[in-house]
Amino acid sequence: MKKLIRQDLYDILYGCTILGTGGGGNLKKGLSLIDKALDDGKEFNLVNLEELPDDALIVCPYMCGSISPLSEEEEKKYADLPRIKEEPALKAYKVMEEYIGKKFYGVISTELGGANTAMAFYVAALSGNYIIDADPAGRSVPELQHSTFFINRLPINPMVVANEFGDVVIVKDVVDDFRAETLVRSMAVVSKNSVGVVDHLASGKELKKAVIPGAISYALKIGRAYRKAKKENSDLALEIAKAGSGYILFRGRVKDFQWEDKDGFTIGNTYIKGEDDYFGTEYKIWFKNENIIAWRDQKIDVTVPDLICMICDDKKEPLTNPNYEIDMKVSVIGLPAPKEWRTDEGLKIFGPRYFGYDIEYIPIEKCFKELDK
Amino acid sequence: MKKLTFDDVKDILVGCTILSTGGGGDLNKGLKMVKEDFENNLEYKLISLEEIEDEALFASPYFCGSIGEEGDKGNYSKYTKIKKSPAVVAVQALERHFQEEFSGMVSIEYGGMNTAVAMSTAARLNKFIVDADAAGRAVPDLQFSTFYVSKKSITPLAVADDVGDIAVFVQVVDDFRAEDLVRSLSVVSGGMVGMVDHPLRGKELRKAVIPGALSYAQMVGKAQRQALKEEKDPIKEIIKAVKGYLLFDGIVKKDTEWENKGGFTLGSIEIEGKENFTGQNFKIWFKNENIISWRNEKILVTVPDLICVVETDTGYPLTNPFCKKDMQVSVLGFKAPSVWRTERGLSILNPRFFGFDVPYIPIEEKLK
Repeated sequence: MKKLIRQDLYDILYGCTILGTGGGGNLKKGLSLIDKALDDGKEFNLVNLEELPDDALIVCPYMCGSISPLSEEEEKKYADLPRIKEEPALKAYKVMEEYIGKKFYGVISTELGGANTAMAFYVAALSGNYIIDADPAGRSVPELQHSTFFINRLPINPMVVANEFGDVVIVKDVVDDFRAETLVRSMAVVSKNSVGVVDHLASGKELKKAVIPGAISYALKIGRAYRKAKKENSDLALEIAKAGSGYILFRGRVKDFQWEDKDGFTIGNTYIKGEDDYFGTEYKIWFKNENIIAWRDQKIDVTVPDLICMICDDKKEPLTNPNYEIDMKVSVIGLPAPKEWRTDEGLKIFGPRYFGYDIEYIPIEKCFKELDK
Repeated sequence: MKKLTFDDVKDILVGCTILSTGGGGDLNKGLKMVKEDFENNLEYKLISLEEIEDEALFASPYFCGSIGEEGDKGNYSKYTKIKKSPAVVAVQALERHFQEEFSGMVSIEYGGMNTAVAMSTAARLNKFIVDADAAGRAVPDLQFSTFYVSKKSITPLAVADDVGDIAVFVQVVDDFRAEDLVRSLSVVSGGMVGMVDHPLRGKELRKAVIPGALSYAQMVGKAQRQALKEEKDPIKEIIKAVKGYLLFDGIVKKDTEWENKGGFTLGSIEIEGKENFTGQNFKIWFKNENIISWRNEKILVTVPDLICVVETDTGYPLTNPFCKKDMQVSVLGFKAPSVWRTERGLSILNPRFFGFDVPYIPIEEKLK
């Protein structure tokens, strides 16, 4: 067990944002949740999978949103409703515990991301429970089934859904994970576009086989490398690539970007014009919430499940989609995907073909030379 | 306790449809459901509020739909449909939640479909049908129920779709939030979900619903059926059976004009008088149900009293928006159940709620 201090927590969330490959939610919101809990004297305790008792009960808390615009009538309706004092995800956690009738041991994050990982941490801290050093994605992912829970057939139900007004629903049975997501999202639409969810109740024994171990420690390592490089004014992208056994893919300035909201996803392209070593070349990244495929001079460079991460060199901060500005100086980093994604089954649901690109996945280390360490 | 025959149930459903003031769902679908049950030798057991046990548990099952939704939201059509009625599944889910079986089912509002769902769900689960109703008419909005008037909690409630998803609502801000959330689930579930709500103990139920409401509807349906059999005037017989009022006889001027707005069917019916009403005209405005009526441009009957349109020759009910040009119709009026005439009842269901700034004048005063 390791007690995480504020610096660790900040490092983890920065690491998660880098590993968020453009998605994973708003880092500021995540940091403020952590601050709130620390200021209330709450503790964040991390345990690894080996320490996890077989009979411990673990759940996965997170926020699920929708981005449908609110009509004036809806705004008015929501304004008149009461608000609960606690975070909806925490409320959902408490109702789930009551429903199951047993004390929970801890929580696991639903993906690595600036906001989503923070919400899981917050629920653990406020309920006095443990954070498991693991994750079902080991990065951020655009869709529900992009999860080792899904690959390992860990049931998603029962789920508890709660909103900021105090409505609480237990989704007891679902036909499959897709219906689960559809139902939860439809409730978000009538809950000011946001609900707290708790799902994937599992015993320690079940969980050990169904997640990526050490994922939080990995985020911490990346976040620390980032912080150290920033403090020492050294090359951010290089230090992050080193920490994650990855590669620098490109450096340059944002030439153009476009995006649209489609069926709840932020879909678009980022175009970067090369500078320095990359002068005279161009880079393009296609994203669906997360960065999915990158091309260098129209030739495919890196694809999912490997990670395509971006750093803004002007602000020295990780970048999330679609928060670009023209002429922004950026570095693109490629990191190898957790091995769970590189299996046949992993690639079937989270390889380039899943996104409609009929190309073979080539592991990033086969395309690039090792960095000078 | 009384075992109902198919004719009894049919009388109840026809009566409910006449008294549903134009709403309450499709009578033919309701009858089909009941017929299937009788073919399967299921028992329809009617029990009065006096007979129910104080500590036994009751609830109201029904279908909740969203009108006018297009497309296959949520990729729903690819899933295999379950054989059970979603309302039955919802009741069983709520029983698991309570860890207790329900004793009987209560109709949430009068209607050819809605009352049938309550009765059929009870029969399919071998439970009692309570001789009561939570509206004593059909109503366009959720809050027009005696449960709401008597401040009974809508939760816990269970929702089931017809592919096997089940949700239990343990807590809601209010009935309106419950409706919004259930409706959002129905939108992504093929437009319709089965649900069960207002679980109550017998002793609470007695004070929260209209007693004898199904027997009352049965008198109306029976009067209509027997009149036809004995070649009597069905309109007169219905009026005689439950002290109704004849508001108008005439011919529908044109096909009903209506629109779907915010999930409701809004429109009006216009009738030209004949026989005793020759030279006069009649108009009804409806929001799913008939809300307000005018005879010769002067307001006649309004909610909460009942405005019911039937075929003149048969006394058979006409639901909205299916009045067609040249149909011969009679408009009947009935007193609202007394709960709607209390101060709290009237503060909820009144003409002003629908935007008509007129006081409610009870039908018996208006037609003195």
